[in-house]
Amino acid sequence: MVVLQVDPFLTELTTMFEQSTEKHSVWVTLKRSSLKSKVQRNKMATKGEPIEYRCLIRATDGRKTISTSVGAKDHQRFQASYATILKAHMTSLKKRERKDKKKAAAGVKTDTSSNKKPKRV
Amino acid sequence: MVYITSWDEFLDRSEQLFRADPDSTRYVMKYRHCDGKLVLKVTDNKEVSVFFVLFFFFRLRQVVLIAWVYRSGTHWCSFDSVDNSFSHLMNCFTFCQCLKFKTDQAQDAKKMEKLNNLFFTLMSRGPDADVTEVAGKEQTEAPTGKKGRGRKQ
Repeated sequence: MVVLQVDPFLTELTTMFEQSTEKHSVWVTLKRSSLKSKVQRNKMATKGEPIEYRCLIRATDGRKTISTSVGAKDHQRFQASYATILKAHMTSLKKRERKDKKKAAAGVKTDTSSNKKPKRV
Repeated sequence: MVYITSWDEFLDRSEQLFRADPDSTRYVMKYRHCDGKLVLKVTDNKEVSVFFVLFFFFRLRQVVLIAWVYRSGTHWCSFDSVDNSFSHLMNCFTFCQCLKFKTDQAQDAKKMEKLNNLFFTLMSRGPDADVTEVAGKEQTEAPTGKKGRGRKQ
């Protein structure tokens, strides 16, 4: 597993999405972690040191795994750019069928309103 | 594992699951472009065992089903129910608590974004973090402008 900084992780994630369009899936896992081993955690607990938790993000396409972590200070910036990446690449999901219905409904409404308007005038 | 069909149920239960044990809960997003599928999963990998014991009360002529739900970890809970059909004496089954949601709709991707934000906040700031901003439903984006435009014209 490759631990990356936030920005290289995002670029890697983008390429991962681009490379798995024809086959393969992309998994992204979020987990709360202290990034320390159990032994280290126990030592810190006995010493009374506070354990800092971060959000660990792992991504894989089945061939390669990358990971990064965000803390309390920088998670908002990450989640914004993560959301844009997802939006840009989740293009194969079905668009809402209601839109057509809404358009149709809106069309009908405008028709009715246009019908009504002359009456008012 | 069975998929949860209601988004709100999935959202509530996944948050509950995380809050019950923040350190061992993970949230997985799987996206398969070629099939246009999106699967969200929240699990804490703990085994849940359910034990059933049936007691037959001769005076009452009823079979009382007592079930204990045991969760590896700290949680114990139990519930009782009355059942008149005497089918088995004791039964036990174990399963892993895992919440899954599957979709192929683009509109659900927006809902997922909210869940992402919720988990990012909870995981990096801790379960005591203020999530009212994140969870606060921003459903004020209803396009109500159309009618106004129509009238103006």
